[in-house]
Amino acid sequence: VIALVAPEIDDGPLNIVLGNWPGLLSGVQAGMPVAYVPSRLVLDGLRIELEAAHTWQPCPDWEMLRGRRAAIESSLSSLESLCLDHDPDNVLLSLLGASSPVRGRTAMLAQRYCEAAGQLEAGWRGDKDALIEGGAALAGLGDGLTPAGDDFMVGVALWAWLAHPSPERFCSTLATAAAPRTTTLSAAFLRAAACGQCSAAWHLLLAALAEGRSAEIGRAAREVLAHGASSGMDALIGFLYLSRDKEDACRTSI
Amino acid sequence: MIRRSEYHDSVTLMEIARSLNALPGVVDAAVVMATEANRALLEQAGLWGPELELATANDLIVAVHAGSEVLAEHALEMAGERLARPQSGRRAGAEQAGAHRARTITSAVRGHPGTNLAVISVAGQYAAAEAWEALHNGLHVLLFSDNVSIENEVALKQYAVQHGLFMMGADCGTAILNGVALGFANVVPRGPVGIVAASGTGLQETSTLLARLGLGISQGIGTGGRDLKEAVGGLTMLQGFRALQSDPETEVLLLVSKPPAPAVAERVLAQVKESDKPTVVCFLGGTQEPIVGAGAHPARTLQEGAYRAAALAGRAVTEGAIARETADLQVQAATLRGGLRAGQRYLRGLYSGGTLATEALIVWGEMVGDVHSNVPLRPHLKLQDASRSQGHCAVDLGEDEFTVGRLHPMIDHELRIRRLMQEADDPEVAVILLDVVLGYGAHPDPAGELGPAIAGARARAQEGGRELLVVVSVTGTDGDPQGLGRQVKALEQAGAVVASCNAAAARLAGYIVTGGRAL
Repeated sequence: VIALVAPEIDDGPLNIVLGNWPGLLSGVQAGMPVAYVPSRLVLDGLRIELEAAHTWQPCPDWEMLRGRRAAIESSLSSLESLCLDHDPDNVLLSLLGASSPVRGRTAMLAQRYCEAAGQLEAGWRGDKDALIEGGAALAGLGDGLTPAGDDFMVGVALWAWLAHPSPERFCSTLATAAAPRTTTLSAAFLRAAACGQCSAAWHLLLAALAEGRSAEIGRAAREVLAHGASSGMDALIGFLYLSRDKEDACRTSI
Repeated sequence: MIRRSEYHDSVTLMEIARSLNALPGVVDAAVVMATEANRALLEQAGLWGPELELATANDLIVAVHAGSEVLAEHALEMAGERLARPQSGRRAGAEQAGAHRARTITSAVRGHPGTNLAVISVAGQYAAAEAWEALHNGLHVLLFSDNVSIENEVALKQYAVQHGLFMMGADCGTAILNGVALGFANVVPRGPVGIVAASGTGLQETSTLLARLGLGISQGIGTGGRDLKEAVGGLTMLQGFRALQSDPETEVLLLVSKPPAPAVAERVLAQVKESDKPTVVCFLGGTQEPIVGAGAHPARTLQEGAYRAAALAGRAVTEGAIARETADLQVQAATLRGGLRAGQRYLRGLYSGGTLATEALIVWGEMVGDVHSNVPLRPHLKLQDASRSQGHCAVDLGEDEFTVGRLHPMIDHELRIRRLMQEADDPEVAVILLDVVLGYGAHPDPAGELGPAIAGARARAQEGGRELLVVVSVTGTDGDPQGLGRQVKALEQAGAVVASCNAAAARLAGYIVTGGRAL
């Protein structure tokens, strides 16, 4: 998956950031044939020359960030407050202790999220089967083009890169279980996160958390929250979910 | 309904799902990707049907549970129509127009690289963070929000000054930059007078008076009400002053503020002293000598400030203009007071603009002595209960004590009308003074609401055998959306006496109760 995005979307693991030319993508239609030749992407009449493009490293400096984990953890409560303020009705917030919806499909959804997230937690502690079951259950679950369950797992994967002793194995197991069960786009985001890749907004947020600068944390978090209808927030909740478990030392590695 | 390989962004999907669920007769509706997990969920919720069996994870499905087949069909049709549109709702309009709907300041700047100023109006607790984001993106800031801590304001302003940016506010209601009105501001021409004001209504009153004298402004820079406090140190006023000193379009400078902290006043006046451009300083209620000592021209009122700036800019306006007007006001007052009964002796000012209330307190203080207020010039004159007038009294109805949980009185007249009626019932009241502020952001037709209320108040007093005089000042220009001429005419038709400006209105009211004499 390659995403052609406007400048305001900024860099991301799948993104080719186009210049700010009004109407540039107005001729792009669903189903239009696409060709990729070396250094050039061609969509009908639109040719995107890639040779001169600046490249961007989608993986943050995880090693440095892992070294700052204590500082990052001490700033997470403010992130949680931002999520609550941003959309108190988000179903996934029940995973952070907010009250669950009591009726209808939303209550069923909350219940499924809760059960599957619990399995991820067990997976974090070394139960590989639970991790696979949880990943499969969350895959494609919920509203949105990238269903909320997938976005949640993106956040979980990023937290794993920060805090799990074997992030590659944990994330790879999760993505392998989930990706075939969701939409192509969602699977691409999930696979990227499993490789430790994230958007520029996440890079800023992680750096701000590591520095403990509250104003910048707020600003960067709002950039993350601005992604999609609820995708940014769902991912942030995933990031926060396993961080809340203070007994997260893995007893056995996967 | 299955829509094969159809991708819509999440915002669109959720908006459509919400609107389907709001349709009459719809029990539940989902617009989701047909993943295994969503299928299981929809089955459990009774929203899955055999017609959806062929859907794959990359297909979009619309499922509706409604009271009847017809209602369900209608909902599906509506969903189909919405999904067939290139984009949904507001975003479509914006995107088709070449604009994009940014959700953060940073993304707005990325989408519009030429942007150089952010107007921020959010709840106080979030305001500083937004202002930092704007400054870090290299934007000047007009921070309309209040309830920003003074520490944050100082830090923001220090950063702005260091980086050559303007940080106007917090609590900055008005600015006119390069002819563009921001916040509550009026339509005034460009011209040679540069204004730096720590008061929004002060900037409005002076800029509109200049406009009526045929003179425009080069820039109108707002600083926020706390800029000249000791802790902030006048950072924005000093910065604005420096900018206007080096601005070739500015010939005369006008500074407007309540009296600054002494150390800040010293700093500002030291800079004024070095200025090679004539400068008028209106520190409302402050002492004049240090201003004269700095080689500037002092102004006791906003009207004086505007008139002096106009005179310095070469307009045929002199001290004599205000004196001549005052003589006319005395004659007018003598006529008007003829209708008052013995015992009608008090002035009552009901203000929407805080600085205009202060200006009235200054004028009345010289004419009638002690004037009570919720924003008094001296602490012992503070009203015990701001909801009840006492003696001569001017109340700022825009203060927090009146505006918590309601709109500002420049936008919502309900509170002021109620107070007007309360004052009209007081047999000791002779004159009620009201300010009406026009321009962008203000009520679209203040006279349309205040006019009938004024007529009603006068009628109530008449039922009690009294003549109630209502004097009004209107801050605005004919270019304003409400139209100065139209507003004045409607107010006069309602029985109000409309003065040329707030200071003149205050003087007229004062002369009515003093019989033409000042203290």
